[in-house]
Amino acid sequence: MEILEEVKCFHCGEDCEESHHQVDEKAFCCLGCKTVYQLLEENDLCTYYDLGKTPGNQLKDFFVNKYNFLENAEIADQLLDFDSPEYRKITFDIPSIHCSSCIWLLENLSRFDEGIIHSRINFGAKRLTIDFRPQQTNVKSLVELLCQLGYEPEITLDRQSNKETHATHKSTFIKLGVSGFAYGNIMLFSFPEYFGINIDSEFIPYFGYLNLALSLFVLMYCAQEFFISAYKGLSKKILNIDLPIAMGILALFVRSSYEIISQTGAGYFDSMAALVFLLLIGRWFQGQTYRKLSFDRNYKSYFPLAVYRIKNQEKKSVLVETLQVGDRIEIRNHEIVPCDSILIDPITQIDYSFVTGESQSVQVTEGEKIYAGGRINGTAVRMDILQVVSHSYLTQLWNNDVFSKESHLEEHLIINQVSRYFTPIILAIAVTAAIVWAFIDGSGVLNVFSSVLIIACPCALALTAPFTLGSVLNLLAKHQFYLKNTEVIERMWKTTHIVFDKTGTITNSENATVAFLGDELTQEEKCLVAALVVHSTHPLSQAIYTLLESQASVQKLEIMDFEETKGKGLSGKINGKYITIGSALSIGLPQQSSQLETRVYLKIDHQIKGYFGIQNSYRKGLKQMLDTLQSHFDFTILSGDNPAEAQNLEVLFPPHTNLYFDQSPVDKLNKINRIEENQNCIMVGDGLNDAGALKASTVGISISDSLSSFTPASDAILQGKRLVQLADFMLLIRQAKVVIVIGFVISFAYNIIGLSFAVAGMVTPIFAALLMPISSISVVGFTTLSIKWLGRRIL
Amino acid sequence: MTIIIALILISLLVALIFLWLFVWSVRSGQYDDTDSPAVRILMDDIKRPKKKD
Repeated sequence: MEILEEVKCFHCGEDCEESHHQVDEKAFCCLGCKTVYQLLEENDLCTYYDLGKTPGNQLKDFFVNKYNFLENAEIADQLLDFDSPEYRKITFDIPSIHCSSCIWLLENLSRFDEGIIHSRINFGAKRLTIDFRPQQTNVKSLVELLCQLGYEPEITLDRQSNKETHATHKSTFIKLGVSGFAYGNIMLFSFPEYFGINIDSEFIPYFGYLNLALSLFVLMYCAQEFFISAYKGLSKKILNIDLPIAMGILALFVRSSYEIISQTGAGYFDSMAALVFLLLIGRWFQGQTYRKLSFDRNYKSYFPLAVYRIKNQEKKSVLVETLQVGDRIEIRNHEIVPCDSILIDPITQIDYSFVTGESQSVQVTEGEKIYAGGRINGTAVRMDILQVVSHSYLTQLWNNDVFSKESHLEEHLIINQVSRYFTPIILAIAVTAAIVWAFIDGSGVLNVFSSVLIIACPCALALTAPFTLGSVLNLLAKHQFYLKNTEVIERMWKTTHIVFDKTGTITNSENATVAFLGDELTQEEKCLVAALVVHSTHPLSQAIYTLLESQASVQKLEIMDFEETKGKGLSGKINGKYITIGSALSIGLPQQSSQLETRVYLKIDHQIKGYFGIQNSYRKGLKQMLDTLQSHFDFTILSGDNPAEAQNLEVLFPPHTNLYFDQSPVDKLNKINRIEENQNCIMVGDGLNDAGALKASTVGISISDSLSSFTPASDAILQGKRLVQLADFMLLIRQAKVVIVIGFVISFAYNIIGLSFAVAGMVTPIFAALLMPISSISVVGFTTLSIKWLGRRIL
Repeated sequence: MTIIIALILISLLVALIFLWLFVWSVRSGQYDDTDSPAVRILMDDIKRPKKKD
């Protein structure tokens, strides 16, 4: 059947392949999406689809038994927030919450399970709180229900760590509230001063003291972070932007207090409160941006939470942390080995792609060492622990120099480069003006000196960079390009080279095109082959399985003599037929060379049926993206795979692109280091095998098709299908620099105007009260609006 | 004119009350999640009874 128009999945909105699943005249891209739809339909919850167009999450493989460890009360209890015999409360982090339909569905969870009393979402934090009755349901079934619906929760070892950030948000809010309150009220008390009204009342002097009292709060409580940061900068011998700010605030306060106490004037307390208030808004905006993107996690997130420990013939699920040297554990198919151990069972296949990047699995026999981070392929195996979790190989790998490389934040920041010159210049101006005034009029010296410090206070300057970069960060996040922080943008400005990983990065592993060439297979034969390949996790086997599953109604069949040989293929006996599938050599054909596709041959009962041709498909729009990028960047390809695709890549990439194949993670790391000697580069990769390279590069972008998996070494995460927009993103990032420079120019212009007044000794309280907020607001307005405009034009 | 000064002082008092309310609302977590309540209020309760089989 030919499909003329693209069919989108009713549940998740992905493109449906030719053989889409259908129910009630609705198309679904996979069995998972169809099942969720049916589950919702059965429970009368299809309002879900009314609230958003294709609101569902794309469903990843769901391994039954994956959450069996939650049956262990000790582990499950650790996750509970509240526990009593009749009532329990649990909170899950669910990264895939993304729209109002999610809120609706997850808050109606009680309709799936009688035991759930109530569920509530915190959309901002992507957190779900469930109240349930322990007699009727348990943690494991809650988690499995969530998985079935496509909202897999994150259950990791370090889930307690994110609670402390909450307290700091609250204090930011309160500081903002207090300074805003002080600002408004000080302005109110300064009204007589503003209008030059001379009210004949004994109360008037008290207004000055009230202002002084309110300002004390601002100085001591709201502005403390500027003083702390300025002090920290000074003690590290860095002139950061907070130093002139702190100087300005202090000058404002001291001078105003003097005027009030000596009854010589009204002071500038309103300017001071405004300054602190506006600066705090800037900080809050920055914090708000970071909070949305808080994705910094550590390696522990990748470890299993619990494993089966075998003690006295008894299997019991225990926490990984409690494992001791010498304990015997059992690791099942697809599980990650948490610590270095010795294999007890005769033989197993281990996939070290997590650690080494090698996608082919390694055979380990009895008595051999298995390193932490390996993933078991095949039946469950037992092993004895050699080292506890924290000492193992994987932890060491992450504690490697490359991973712990501290970024020299202070040196990078554009704003600090400016302030390095700013502070001395302002001090010089203030001192010179004071000296000149000493000759003209001795009484004006202090006045001029403090006026310069007050007016020069770089409020607008300090707001320019955070607002511009923050807006860019928000805008990119909206397009599923998540940067760790604004510093990443500043580092991107320096890059001139992009390094791509191949598989999973520029190719779309899920969309590999598979076709069978040879004798037509009968339905029965298709079932047999599917029943065989389902046992292998090799990407090729999975691609073949997906093809067969769409063509025949696949069922589970008993398999005998199953064998999987590394780099060769699979064989087994099903329904009396002996089936072999694998490379040309493994079924007795001569080795084929120089072909553009990967071939997997099929042999049933000594008869060669043909081969499955599997072609990597490159992401759509890749060529265009590269053409746009090549005017600013050089390219390199670092692939862990064999050079079969070299010809295709040469067509895609501009000439002079360096192509490297068969690269191990260490090779990748070394190549990046070599490039970095001459050029700053961006590494675009996926998975942990690129971790070293991602970290060693100036900016590491990790490509992810599901947001819950990425590497700790990356500076940014990019949704796989958005990779082709990278050129647009880079353009926006470059333009942001121009916006910042213009913002700086504007704020300097204000400063020059203000300074000339200050040097001339003409700064009055009302002049300061007007100039300061106007300069800040106009700069913030300019940067935010220009980024918005750029975003609309470019993205 | 004295009345204006009295009024200003009263307004300061009112402002202080609001400041206290603000601090209280922040502390009690009303700003922790500003997105979901806005969506939640628009959602209808499910009236149809649950299907039983």
